[in-house]
Amino acid sequence: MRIFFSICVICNLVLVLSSANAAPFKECPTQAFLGQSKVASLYGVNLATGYYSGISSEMGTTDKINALGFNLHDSYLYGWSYEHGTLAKIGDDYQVEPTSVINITNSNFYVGDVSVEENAYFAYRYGSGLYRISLNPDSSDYNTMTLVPGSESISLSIYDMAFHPNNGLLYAVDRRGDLFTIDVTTSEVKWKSYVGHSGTFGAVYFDVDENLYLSRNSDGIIFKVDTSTIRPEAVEFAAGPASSNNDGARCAIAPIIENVSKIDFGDAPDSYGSRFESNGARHDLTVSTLFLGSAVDSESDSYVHPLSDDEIGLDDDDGVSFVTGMEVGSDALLSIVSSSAGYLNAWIDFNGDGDFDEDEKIVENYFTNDSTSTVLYSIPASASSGATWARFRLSSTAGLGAIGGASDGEVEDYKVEITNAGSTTQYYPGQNDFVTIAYEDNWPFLGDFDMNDLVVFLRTAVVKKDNNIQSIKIAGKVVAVGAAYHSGFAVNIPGLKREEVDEDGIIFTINNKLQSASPLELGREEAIFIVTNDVLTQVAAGEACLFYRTEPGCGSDIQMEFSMTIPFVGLVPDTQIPNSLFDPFMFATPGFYHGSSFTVPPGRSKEIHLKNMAPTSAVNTMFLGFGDDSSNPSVNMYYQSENGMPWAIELGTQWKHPQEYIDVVFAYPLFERFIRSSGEEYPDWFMPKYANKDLIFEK
Amino acid sequence: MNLLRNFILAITVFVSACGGSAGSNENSTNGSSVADVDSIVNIPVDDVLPVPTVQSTKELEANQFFDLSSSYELSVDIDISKKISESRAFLSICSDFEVLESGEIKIGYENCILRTSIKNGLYKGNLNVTNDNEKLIVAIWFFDSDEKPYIKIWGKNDENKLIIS
Repeated sequence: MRIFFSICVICNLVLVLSSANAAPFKECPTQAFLGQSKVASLYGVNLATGYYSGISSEMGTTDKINALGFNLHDSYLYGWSYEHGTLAKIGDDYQVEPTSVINITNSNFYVGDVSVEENAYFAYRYGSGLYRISLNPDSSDYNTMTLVPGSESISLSIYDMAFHPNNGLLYAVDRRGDLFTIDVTTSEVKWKSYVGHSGTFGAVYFDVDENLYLSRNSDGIIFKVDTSTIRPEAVEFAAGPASSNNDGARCAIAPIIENVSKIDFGDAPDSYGSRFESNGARHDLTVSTLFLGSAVDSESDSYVHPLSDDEIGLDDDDGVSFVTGMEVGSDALLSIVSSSAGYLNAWIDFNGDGDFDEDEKIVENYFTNDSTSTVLYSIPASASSGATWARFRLSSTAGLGAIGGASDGEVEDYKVEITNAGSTTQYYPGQNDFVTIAYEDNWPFLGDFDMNDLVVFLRTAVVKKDNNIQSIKIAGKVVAVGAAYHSGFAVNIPGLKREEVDEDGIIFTINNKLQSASPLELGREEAIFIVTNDVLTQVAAGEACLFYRTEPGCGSDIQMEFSMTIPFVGLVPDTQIPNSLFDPFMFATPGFYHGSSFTVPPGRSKEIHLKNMAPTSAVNTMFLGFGDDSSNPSVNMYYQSENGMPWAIELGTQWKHPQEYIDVVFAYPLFERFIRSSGEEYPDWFMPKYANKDLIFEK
Repeated sequence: MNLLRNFILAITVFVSACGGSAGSNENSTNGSSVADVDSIVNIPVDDVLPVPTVQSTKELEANQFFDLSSSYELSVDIDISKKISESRAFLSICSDFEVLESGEIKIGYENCILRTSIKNGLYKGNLNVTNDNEKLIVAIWFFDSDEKPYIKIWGKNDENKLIIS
């Protein structure tokens, strides 16, 4: 892909006539310069992604330019002009201007750079030696070529070299992959390390952080070498341009990243390689015609999980559909949409170890066109069941790895679920959706019915096989706490006994952090899972706000997310647990005041459940039927007022709850019709389209 | 790891009606009919929300056994064994889908209610579905051949049954 900026071509046509005294570059460029072709052409390379574009194809010479170096002392590029057989100076018009070098040899040079410490150019040729040319007009040896004493014995098969940004040494990697330093005053050559990759590294560059970048001619791969380590190694960093004739130059004191606003990153956890500093998967969007799905957008860096690329900017992770599930030891199908022709590579972290191994590649160089394709792949028998991550990369470059830069295309990361073969998963209300449970906490007395004393988003997943439940997953978010009472939140699974739970196998996270304490409540026969004993230890009201996310102007991010994966000890028939919502309830935090009607803090003896859901064995049944509560356990009536109104309701969506002190019937007027018709009318009264938008909480 | 056995399907899937309790005999993948979902009786959205007739929710009266549930139980009974040649398939019932003007259906497989392997085109079970979902998409994909996916739109009915046969 070579794209020349037309504006530069036009300016070059003008400047070729008057290039004798071109101006220097205005600043230390962050892009790398790459000289290629038999007749010199100059490219700009973003080393962050490998994206490169033509700067000038008309440099005012009939032959190539090699041994390029950027001189930060005068902000000109220098290189060896094969047409003129001498050092040439290149300014911001990109025209070759030969210099008059005194004492010049008869050789051409393809290995060279400009020193960072002094205003001098150095060129090396195998069998001849290392030469210095002063570029300082005030120096007595200005423009004079001299052999560095002792350098005639240097015998390195190198194709470019670069000055370190601050130690004065030249660095080069030979074709075998050995990294050497060269002292330009003593001609001392030191072996540093074997970098792990061999080849013709025709263009090498430094950045200000002591990283050396190697561009391999044969395939264009750009490697990054951290020279600050004792034994530097090369890691694949980006897919750049391949060429038989390469030479690079760069302002060594510039940082490496440029134009980050035009890069697409993945958003898997950083252990998979997502952030720039982790050499994360990234695609240059300067030419953004190749992408997955319907769109691609850029980020300044990866929004790694639990943030999401899709929640910031466009929802652009839309190119891959998992049209079948992923079952251990089975085939599976993917549907892929691409905007134009490119190569797809994809990985799934089958062993769940937090990275994409080479044997976890599920799609390799699959050529896809501007269409929808279906791809069959396999889940190995050794795969671990449970949640993991998948990565998809589309590019015009074949053979991309799971990390590193690419000059075009897109990366999409997905959190996926691997299940055991032959299993069935039922989601409520959906894999990535939530219902809402909203509570009034003044039970057993009626409250203000703003239904925001505790608001929790909740979803469940039940994994079955052969009509037996294998595991249950409960996930949620604490969305609002419009209460002063300290309360906890828990989920009881009706029909399940505590002893049927594989307690050691429970995976419980809060805000994606694994919790060491078991959520399974002690001392109960039922299986009760305590999410938190006190939501007020997990969330906080904003400044100058009384409550968490209920008052106008008191918005904040959701501060508590939780997840529980609950395995079972033996076979649990699915008929034993027919209800997908289970029994979410709030309870009084032990030790905390809960109103004057309780002479002592009620703690676990006070629970608030959805209407007609029975309390757990923790409750003091003396409270049932007390105050405004009209529970009658003998006919399975619980948690309802004399009018049959509840203290807790379920809403079938991610509900926009009423503002503080706003009665739900005013925020959602059709609630009245729903109640009066016993649910026959407006069963979806809670949807945003029915909200009185001035009365609901908006962040 | 040579896992890749690729084949390409044109996934321009056209929809035929399935809604209603009895289901339809049409196979969506062999026809060119466009979306023709059974009409669903919708209560129209009021342009202006009504003013409550009460001063507070506490004044409302609800039947004591009306639990205010925001979901319904859906009975699913699928038997397409006579229409398919392949035994191994994967069934998804999802809420997120869009019928494009072309008749093609865009399905959000990341937000399904049921995901299960099926054999011989058979599945029976019950699902809890939230009340706002009056239409669902049923998608069956086959593993071992280039048989086209079987796609149906289901519309809510009084019996809350999803039957495909």
